Amino acid sequence: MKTILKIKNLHVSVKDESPEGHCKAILNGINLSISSGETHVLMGPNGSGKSTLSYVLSGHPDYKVTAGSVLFKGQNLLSLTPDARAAAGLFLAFQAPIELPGVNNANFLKTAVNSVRKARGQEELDSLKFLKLVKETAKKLSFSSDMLKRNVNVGFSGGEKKRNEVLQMSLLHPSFAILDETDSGLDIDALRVVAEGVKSLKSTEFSSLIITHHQKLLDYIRPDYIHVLAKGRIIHSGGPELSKRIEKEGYSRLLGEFDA
Amino acid sequence: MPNMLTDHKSQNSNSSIQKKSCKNFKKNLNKLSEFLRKNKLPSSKDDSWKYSNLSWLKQINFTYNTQFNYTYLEHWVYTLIKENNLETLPRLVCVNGHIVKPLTTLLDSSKLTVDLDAQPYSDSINNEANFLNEVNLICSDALIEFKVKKNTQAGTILILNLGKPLDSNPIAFHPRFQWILEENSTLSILELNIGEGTYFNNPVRQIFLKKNSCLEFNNFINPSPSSYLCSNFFVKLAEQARYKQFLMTKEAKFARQEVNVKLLGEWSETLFRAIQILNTHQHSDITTHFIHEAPHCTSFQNVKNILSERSKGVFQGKVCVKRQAQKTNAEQQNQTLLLSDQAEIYTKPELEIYAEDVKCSHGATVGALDDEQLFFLMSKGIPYPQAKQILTNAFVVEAIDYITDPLAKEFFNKHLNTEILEGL
Repeated sequence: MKTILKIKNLHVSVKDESPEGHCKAILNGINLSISSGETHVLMGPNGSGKSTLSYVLSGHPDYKVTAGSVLFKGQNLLSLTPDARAAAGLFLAFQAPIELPGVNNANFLKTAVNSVRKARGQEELDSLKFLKLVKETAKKLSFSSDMLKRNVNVGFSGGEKKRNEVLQMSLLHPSFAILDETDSGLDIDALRVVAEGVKSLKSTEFSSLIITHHQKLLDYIRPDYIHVLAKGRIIHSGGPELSKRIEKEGYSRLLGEFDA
Repeated sequence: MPNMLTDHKSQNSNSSIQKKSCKNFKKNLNKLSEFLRKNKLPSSKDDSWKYSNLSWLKQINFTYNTQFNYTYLEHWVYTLIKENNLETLPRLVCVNGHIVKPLTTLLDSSKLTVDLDAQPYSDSINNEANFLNEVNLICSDALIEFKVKKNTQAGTILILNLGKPLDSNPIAFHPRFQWILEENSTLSILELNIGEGTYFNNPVRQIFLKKNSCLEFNNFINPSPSSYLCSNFFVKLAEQARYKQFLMTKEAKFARQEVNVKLLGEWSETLFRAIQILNTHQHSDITTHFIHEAPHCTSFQNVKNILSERSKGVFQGKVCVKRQAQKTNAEQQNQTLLLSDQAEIYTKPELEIYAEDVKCSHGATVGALDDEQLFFLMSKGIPYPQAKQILTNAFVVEAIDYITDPLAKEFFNKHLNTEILEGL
């Protein structure tokens, strides 16, 4: 299988909030390879750097890569702007989706879809074709059309915001998606809908990196690999059985093994 | 009223109308020169001119040759109304300060009477100590009056206020309008101020709203980048009258919109919203002066600025509540989005309250685009310029939501590209 994402010795810092603006190292040498068609899961204690990794891969300007490289489909991902990364096929489902007062959700989705289509050399969708597509996709995700009429994420419940992220993912056809705790705050039915949404994209052309704390989502999605991130590094990798072990033992034993 | 009423023939020949007009222009030019010689321009010591400077008025040699090319104008007008789906609206076409009769369909309206040589409804406005109003009084050729009869719902009308010099010489014109809405009448005006080349347009609008009448006035100020547009609005409201104004300023090199409102009758209401979207070295000023003279009245002002490059925005808003105006409810807000380190905003909200039982507030905020919102949009594939546009539009779109007139709302949404997808 073709390697889609190759992270090599990635070191990342972020400016802390001190008046001097000191840099604080968050990631200290991440190595990770993901091939097309694979589903990887990233677990780890709070503050270990999971969300930082997702932001760095998506191009958030607050994070500074101090060493290492990231190749996405063979090209230097770190040299691309966030929109170019999305056009290249990378998608980030936000842990805390941003509210955009004054921006209509359907208009935002249409702009995003057509921006990506244009960058990929595909024909842009007119309003009629887009509406047909968005209605069909929203229906599959039990996403009410009322939420398409509202402003992006404004007044949405936690679950609705996450479903909106999955709707965006379905519409943008990424080849690699990072889902940052998309399952958090979801009730059991919403979790099933989100999991179905992710599963529906699963193919040999689609890979994903799922950041989660919970076994429940993994029961639906059935990942290929599980990695544990702690202290800014991947300290342990394994198969799907690893999540059961973590659920039983927590992270302390793995951390102890790593420190030893 | 021949000199204000331009017909097709007069533009294509040396007709008597044109000759007479030229005579008037010369007369007006002399009057203005004399006025400027005798009177000092308002200076920064003048409270209402603290941040805007009229020195260009003396520096630029404005001529009064306000002739225009009719064929060009006709094409311009029909393209404008077609592109904006405004063909169905009764319209008044005013170019370089002249009403162009062949392109105007409003004069035959059964719901509205138009007098092209009216007498002032009230002298009080003529006597206002207001520099540009005085310039207008001296230079305007006539007062054009629009009147909506008692108990009449006059619908929506379109005013095209166009400016275009015939050659490279800058021109100036000073139209003067009077709007009277009789008891229980309603009217909605969509006014587009559009132009090409260098010109100075100094319109004055006197508005009298009788008991329980309602006027919605939506103004689009988008003349040429080298134009100067200074408008004065003088509005007087009788009891239960309602005045709702929306104003969007773009493009002008120098713009000043001065809105003077007097709430004279009980339970009258004024809602004023404005947006200034400026770039390059543009200077745009919105100055308001709302006076509450009767009890139980409401006024609301919200001015939003989006300033890029080296543009300069000004908002001076004054609310004065007289002693007898108990139970007044007045609110004033000014919000600015600064998109450049070189852009400047000058904001001066003022409350002058003499009554005891009132609810008055004012506030001003200045900020930049939210980086997290920008990143969110870009991470979904939207390039930076578009993401920035989406967020700046989002900042002002709320003001458009409050427009009641569906055609005006559609026009402004189309202009800002904030139309909502239909059919969901």
